[in-house]
Amino acid sequence: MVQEAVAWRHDLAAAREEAREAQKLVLVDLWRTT
Amino acid sequence: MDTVVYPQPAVSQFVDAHFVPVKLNLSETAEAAQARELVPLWTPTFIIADARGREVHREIGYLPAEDFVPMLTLAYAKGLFATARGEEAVRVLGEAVERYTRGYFAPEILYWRALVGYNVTHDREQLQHYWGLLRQAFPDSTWAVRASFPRE
Repeated sequence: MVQEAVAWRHDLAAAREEAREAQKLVLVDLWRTT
Repeated sequence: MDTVVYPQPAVSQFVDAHFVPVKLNLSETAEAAQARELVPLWTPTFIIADARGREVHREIGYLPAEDFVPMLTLAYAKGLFATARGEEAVRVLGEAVERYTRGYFAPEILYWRALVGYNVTHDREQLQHYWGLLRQAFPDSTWAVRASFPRE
């Protein structure tokens, strides 16, 4: 069982709004199921 | 990344402090649609952007934890610089120069410390100081090549 250490979001538009309010940057991890 | 890099406390704490993290699976139709505007060429790709979507840094390919935090630090500083917080960016880059004297991102951090510092202070000696350190410590780096013009 791997612990999810980072609280990933999956909605880019919502994350941008959250970043605007928190004055943070957005980190996007693009991946693909292998 | 999920099994080795992200669980590292140094990584997760830095991410939590400075970023809103988004993970999009390009194999899933809905998430791939969101990612289309980011023009992904390969996976994994890491993109750091401001809240308006203006990209400040992009990395393609896997990075180990020891390089991931320096990369995030550099991207965070570039984000500060891009949002008119240059003095804060200089402080972050200055601390990164001291902390990351080796590793994949050390030359790039030195390059940006010089550039952002010059932008804030207009002190050409400071620019040449850091770019001189870059050329001396990492002469084979592409960043040293980019920092070569003050000698001409």
